[in-house]
Amino acid sequence: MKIKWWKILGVALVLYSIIAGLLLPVPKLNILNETVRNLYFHVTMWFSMIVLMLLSMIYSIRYLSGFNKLLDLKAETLASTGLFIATLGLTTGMVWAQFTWGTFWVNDPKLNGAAVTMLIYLAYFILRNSIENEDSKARVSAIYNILAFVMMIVFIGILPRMTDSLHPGNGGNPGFSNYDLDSNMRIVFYPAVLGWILISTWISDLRYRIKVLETNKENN
Amino acid sequence: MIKQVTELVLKDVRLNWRERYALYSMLLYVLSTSYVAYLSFEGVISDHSWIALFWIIVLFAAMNASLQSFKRELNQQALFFYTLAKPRAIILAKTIYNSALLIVLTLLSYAIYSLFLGNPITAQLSFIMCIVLGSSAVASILTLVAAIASKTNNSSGLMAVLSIPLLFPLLINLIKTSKLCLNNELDYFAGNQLLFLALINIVTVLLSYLLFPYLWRD
Repeated sequence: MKIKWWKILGVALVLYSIIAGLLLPVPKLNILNETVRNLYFHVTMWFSMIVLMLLSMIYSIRYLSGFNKLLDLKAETLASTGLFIATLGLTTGMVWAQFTWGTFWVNDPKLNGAAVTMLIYLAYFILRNSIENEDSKARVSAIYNILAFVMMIVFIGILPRMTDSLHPGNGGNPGFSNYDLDSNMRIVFYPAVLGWILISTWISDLRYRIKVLETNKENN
Repeated sequence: MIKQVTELVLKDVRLNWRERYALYSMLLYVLSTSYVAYLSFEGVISDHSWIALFWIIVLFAAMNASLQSFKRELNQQALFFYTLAKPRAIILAKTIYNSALLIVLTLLSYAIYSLFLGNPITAQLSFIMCIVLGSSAVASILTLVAAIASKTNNSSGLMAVLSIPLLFPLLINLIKTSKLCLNNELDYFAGNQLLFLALINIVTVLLSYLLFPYLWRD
């Protein structure tokens, strides 16, 4: 059994971000106060989700160019792990919002973007389950997956920039880039992003391998 | 390629004109929903609800309209069809036809809807531009989704599930652009929003163009 270096790196970085994220000093920002530490746990989820969805789209494109079933399985697993990570991102955000904005849900472009993203990917799984023929299932859902990712990037990349958001750093709210004193936060945030991306890829990889074993078992 | 596309668009126009009842049913849908809106609001409606309701009616009309677009291509005849024309020509033709249909339908809905519920829009020109760009964006997304949904067993049910999340941000943007048209503001902001609509159009058409060849063959 060989353990790849990036898995160790992922665990180390996430452990570091949890310990350092809770212990290191953070800038005292108005309204945010100590909840600013949620940056290490909430925002990282969205970064990991986008990376997983990007990988999922890449595997879908590769599936369409070779029609290798395993690539489709990989795309599906990545998307479902991404959805799981998005759920975590949404939950951490909602708990944070309850303490910062006083409500779990507000009409904010970023929240709408998150909700739409999750609905799009839920639709992707409904689409998968509604096609019986294995080949056309893989092909049609690969196409929808590509469409979904491109639309998601257009919508969450452009739409929030056209309006103000309640989120820190937008619309005059105190953010991290406004103050240049956050070198302390940066040395936790960037490793945390990398760590969570690695961990979530690992989770997806494990689930993919379990699925491959299951299909092999069924076929034998 | 261009010749094929024009031929296919003309074919769609001719076929749908022969079966006019589908077109009439769309008009009747707009007419009856506008009248229901008139009755339920008792003729008094705030400007923002006017806009939101208008686009929701248009959205569902568009969904009904594009659901039909791949119905004819489902049978055996379609296979023969696909050997004659390039798949890319087929999807481009469908997108063009659906966009044109939806633009006409939305403009008609605008007239009918204003008849019943009044017309608070002051910047007519930019609102009509918003209608043209918005309906073609909606139509091009819906055409691709209809093509995807036609491959499943439950296409009409899936159509809504697959397309509403994709259309939702577009809808928000359309409502926002329309609100700018309320106070005669054809300014920088409205221009930006219209640019966004045009961008959605381009991205979707490009995606359909690239992806449809993988979709049609079974």
